[in-house]
Order: sequence, then structure tokens, then C-alpha cells
Amino acid sequence: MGKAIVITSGKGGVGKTTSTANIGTALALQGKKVCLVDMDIGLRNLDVILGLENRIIYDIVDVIEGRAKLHQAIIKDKRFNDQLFLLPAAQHADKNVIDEEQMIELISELKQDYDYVLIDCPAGIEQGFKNAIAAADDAILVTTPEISAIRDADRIIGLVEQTSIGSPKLVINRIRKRMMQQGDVMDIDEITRHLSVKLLGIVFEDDEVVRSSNKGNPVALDPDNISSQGYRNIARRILGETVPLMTLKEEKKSFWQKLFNKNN
Amino acid sequence: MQKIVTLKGTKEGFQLLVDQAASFSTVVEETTKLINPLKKEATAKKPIELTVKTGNRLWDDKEKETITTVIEEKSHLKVKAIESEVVKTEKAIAWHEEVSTKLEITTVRSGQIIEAEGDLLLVGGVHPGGTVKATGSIFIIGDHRGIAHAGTKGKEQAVVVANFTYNAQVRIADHVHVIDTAENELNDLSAKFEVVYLDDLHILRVSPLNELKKIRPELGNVTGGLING
Repeated sequence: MGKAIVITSGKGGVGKTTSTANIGTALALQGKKVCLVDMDIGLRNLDVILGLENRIIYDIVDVIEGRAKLHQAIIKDKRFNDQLFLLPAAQHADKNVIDEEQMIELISELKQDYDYVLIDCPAGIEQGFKNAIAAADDAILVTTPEISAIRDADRIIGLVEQTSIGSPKLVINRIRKRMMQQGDVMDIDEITRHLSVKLLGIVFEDDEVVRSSNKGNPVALDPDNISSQGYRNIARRILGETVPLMTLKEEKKSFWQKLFNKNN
Repeated sequence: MQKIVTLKGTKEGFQLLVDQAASFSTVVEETTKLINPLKKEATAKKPIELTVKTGNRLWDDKEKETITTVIEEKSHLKVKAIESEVVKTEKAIAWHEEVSTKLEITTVRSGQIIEAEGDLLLVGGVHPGGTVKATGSIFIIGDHRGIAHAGTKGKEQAVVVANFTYNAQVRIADHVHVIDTAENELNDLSAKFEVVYLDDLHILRVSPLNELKKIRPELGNVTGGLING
């Protein structure tokens, strides 16, 4: 029996989908059998980031409405040996075609076959959000150091805490080291203290994330990339390992120098 | 033997003391006996007010009505009130609810609303976008960055005590005060516990905490649902 984890944020554009793809990839690299479920019905793009867009035949709405069997809709990621799977969202329907009960049924069916079921939650707090959190055992809250994202994160924590999931775990995404060092944005401690939830991990901003996503390769596949390391650490913490937090200092300087040199 | 009903004149006016152990029918009988001779003597043009004291006994509305009719029909006396030393449990609970301070231990996050009847003591912060409301005063142990609305039902004596280091909003009854720290924020984030209250001119004021006793001396006389003194 696996575990269902919802990845949510409230605000859009903080990297829910990217985080879902990469945490899923990192978990698969650790040898776990993972199914990613795209709940962003109507605006799906988890399939794009994984590079599986052209393989979709059936989607989650087809499954729920009985037009397809679950195993027909699930797409296998060929880069992994039976480790990573995707249940794509529908593009032509909207979020209200599914309700919480159907979602719970679907996810508990998936949990039988997979170690981890990661649910990519849509932005906002409407029906789509409710569906996504209804079936989850755990929640990962993605935020960026921006105040607007933190504000929405706070709202989401309040909503998630009222459910059986309890307190979500925090991932601070898209950290720009220089800005955080200069104090232009809230630092990791401040954000964690302000939101008063457990920190699961941090991910540094890197151009490579977008570049590789555009090619349909989650960045977590690259062991040397700094963002990838962030996601890999998160995956290891999910599996119960104790991994120290990546630091902003020292290597950071060399990293920026590297980047600087590269750009010149 | 003590009489079942006694008519007594006190500083507060006439009182009819009723023996709490007597049956109601005896009380009515005795009252009639007591009141009847009064009618002849009554000369006052205005009815004389009378308070009925029932001791440790609670009469229902029907009983109250009967005794009032007996007294008022046969004399010039008028029943001002029927008082008892006891209150009903539900009334006592409502009273207790009204005067006791509610304790909430939680973080009020964006979009959440905490509401309380009477005074509210909140342990935990109010995050931006969060709201605490109370019909009485609000005391916050923790940072206040959201909205605190005291005296929601119009109680203007209500106060708000909190750490006002951050941008926030305070409402008392129908008055609104915006705490803007942007200008004087010289990285001074030390806790600044203060009291916000409504002064005689209906202007919201912020004062240091040691002023609170002067501003609202009646606050703090409440312990465990009983008002001392």
C-alpha cells in the first residue's frame, strides 16, 4: 500500500508541476514505483515537462467517467525501468467534472500498485484544489521566497490543516542565492518560522530547470545540477533519510562566478 | 413561628418576603390575608411599588403572574420585581460565557476567522489576511499582522492588546485603525506590546501597556466568571 502526496501551493507559477515531475523522478531514481497524477484538468502540463505529451490516449476524466480502464490511461515513462508513471489530466473538460469521492476511489486504487502517488494540484482553492487534497495522505507545499507566494501558502496551510492530512511540509523553490544573501527576500529561516510548518527542502533557481523541462527531461535526471540536488534531497527526506540542508554560502559564490563566467 | 409572608419596609422600598419552604398555594393564601386589610387603609393616589423576594426559590411565569394579580387587584401596591437568590443553570452558563475570557491556542492563518463571545485571549499569531473577532476585548500573545476586531456588537469599551510591531489593522466596534509601521521600521523588530482603545472623543488611540489600568480600570476585575466587587 503506497502513500499519496499532494503537491500544492495556492499561487500559480511557483513550480508545483516542475516540483511534482522532479520529486517523482528523484523518487523513481531511488528505486520506488511512482505514479504522478495531474489534477490540473483543463490546463494540464505535467505531461509536457515529462516529455510524454504525445503518448496520451486516455486521461483521468475518461477513467472516472468509465470510458477507459485505469491501466489504459496510465503512461509509462520509458527512461525508467517500470518506475515512473503518469496519469494525465484531461484538456477538454474542467475541474468540476470530478468530485472528491471519485478522487478518493481513484487514488486508493492507485495506492495498491505504487509506492508513491504524487498529485499535482491546480493553482487556486476551488474544486480542483479540493479534489486534489481529498485523497492525499500527506501534503507538500511549494512556495517561492516572494511575499505573494508566502501569503497564499499561509492560506493553503490553514485549509490543509483542517483536513485529516494535518500540517503540510514546506518546499521553498526558486531561491535566488544572491537576493537572499543580500536580504532582498525573506530568508529560509524567516519563511519557515513565519509559516510555522516543517521544512522539507529548498531548491535553488537555475536556468537549467527551464531548459531541460522544455526538452521534456526533468532536471532531476542530471546529478550535477544544483536544482536537481535540491529535488533529490527532498526525495531522500521523503524516504526518511536525514539529509543536511544545502547552504547558501561558500559554494554559492563559486556557483555565481561560474554562472557569471559562463554568461560572458 | 416565622410568618410565611412578611411585608417589610426597607431603604429600597417595600418588600414582600416569602418563606422559601412554604407551598405556593399557602403563599397565595397568606398573601391574600396579608393584602386584604391593606386596601381599606390605602390612601395614596399613586400605587406603591413593592419587590417580592422569594429566597432560594425560583417561580415560573405562571406563578409570578398569580401572585402579581393577587397583590395588585386587592391593594394599591404594584409589583416592581420578583427577585430570587437563585438563577437557572442555562442563564448562569450564558452569563458565565459572557463574562469569562475565551482561550484560543492557534495560529490564525490567511483567510481564517476566529470568533468569540466575550473577551478573547489568543495564544499564537495572527498572520496577514487572518481575522480575530470578539464581542469583548482581544488579547493576543504573539505577533499581530492581520485584523483584530474587538467589540463586534458595538461595545466601545473593548480594547485590543497585542504586539504591534508589524503592519496590521485594529477595529473596535465600528471604528477602524490601521497600524502602519513602514515609515519607522528601522529594523526595530523588538516586540512592542501595546493597547489600542477608543477614547472619550471616539478616536482610536495606541498606548503603552502600563496605561491600560488607567484607561480601563474595570478590566481585570473579572476572574473565573465572577465580577469581584
